[in-house]
Amino acid sequence: MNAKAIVVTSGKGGVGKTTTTANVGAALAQLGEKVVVIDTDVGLRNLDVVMGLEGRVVYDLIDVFEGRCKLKQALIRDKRVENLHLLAASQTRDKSALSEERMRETVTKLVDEEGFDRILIDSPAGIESGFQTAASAAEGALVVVNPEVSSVRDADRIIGLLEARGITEIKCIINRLRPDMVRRGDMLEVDDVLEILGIKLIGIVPEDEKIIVSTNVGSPISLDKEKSGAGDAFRSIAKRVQGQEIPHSALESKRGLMTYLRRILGIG
Amino acid sequence: MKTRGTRNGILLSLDAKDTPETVQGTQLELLSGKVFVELAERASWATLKALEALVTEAGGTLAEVRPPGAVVQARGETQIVARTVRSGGRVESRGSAIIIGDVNAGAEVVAEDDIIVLGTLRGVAHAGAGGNEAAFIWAQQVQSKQLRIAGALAQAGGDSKTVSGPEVAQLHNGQIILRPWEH
Repeated sequence: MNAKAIVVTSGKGGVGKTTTTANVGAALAQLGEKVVVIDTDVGLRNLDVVMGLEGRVVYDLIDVFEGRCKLKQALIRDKRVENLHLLAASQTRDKSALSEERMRETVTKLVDEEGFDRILIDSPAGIESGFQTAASAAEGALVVVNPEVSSVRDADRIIGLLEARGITEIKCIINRLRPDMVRRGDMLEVDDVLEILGIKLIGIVPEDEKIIVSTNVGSPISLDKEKSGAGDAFRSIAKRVQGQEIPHSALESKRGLMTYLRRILGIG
Repeated sequence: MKTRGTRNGILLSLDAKDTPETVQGTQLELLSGKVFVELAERASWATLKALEALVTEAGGTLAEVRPPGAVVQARGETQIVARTVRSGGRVESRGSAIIIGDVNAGAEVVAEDDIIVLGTLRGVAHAGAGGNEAAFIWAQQVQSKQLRIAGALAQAGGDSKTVSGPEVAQLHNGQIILRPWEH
């Protein structure tokens, strides 16, 4: 993706925005990029927990916005990976403390003065000010969607709002896919989701119990050397964000090519 | 094209006679600051794109593009929307509406005459909204849970089969009938 500042969003809650932000961010840092992940879910902050950096938060995004600290002071450096940083949300304030203007200023500074290659902005659920602020500074977007009708509906709404903001580089992550359920026809297929949303796929992350463990212990699974479905998927997504061509795994259905052909021929 | 200076910047009003060529004549100095554009009813997309390129070249910013201000769409005029209408989106037309793209679930298209969707219709479509009982709804694929024509309402059953291929919905004796479309 050309975008340096990328918002990770979904509309619906609980689909895996924060986990995606932490894991893709960590994987990008491991690939050598200087990365900062920003939590904009003021009042319900989670990204620090998922990344295992909870105890190290001193200053947060709102402190930066309101001038109580320097931007550098609020950047928490992850000790596991070089080049990975967190800018935490405030837990004791609410969304009214957010400001689109401050957000844009902060992101500009992170790029121009701090030299970050990639800024992943973890958006809160919903379409209100939290999301709007998160999106305001973004040039690109990763839309996280679960293969279920309500999640797709909300993602569709979010894509409309992103497009209205002039954000054109929008990619889809299908998260928590259960291949066995898709085979039984109990879950939406990847193609169905993409057909409705009309945006490009950047990765499919299978449902993986190890995610829950990694979240609880605060260690992104993509940093784990051990092989895991979700970890591999997040690492592939990071490579695709960088522009590498990595084929999608066999989770995609065989219908893929036919649907694609039908779509370009305009039949069905 | 009319050019006016306002307190906030330059206001350009595009009208139907403007083409990408005619806007080229605009003085670049005028476009180097904040530029607001007001579109007349039939201003073309190509013209707007040409103007946008000029503003960028002049180092200015296109601060806002306004739809035709107080101009109300004339009765019977067809509205064309050349993009997918996503969840939360709403298209209203005082005449017919043609959507080049899909109408996704959670979106609404309301037209006083016909609705034509050159894509998949998944959202709510209400044709003949002013009471026109001759209005129809046509789509390349109909997957809506609800269709309305004039005062009539049709709701999809629980396990309704989807027909692949174009379908058309029309009123027959006060009931909405959806059937495959044959030319």
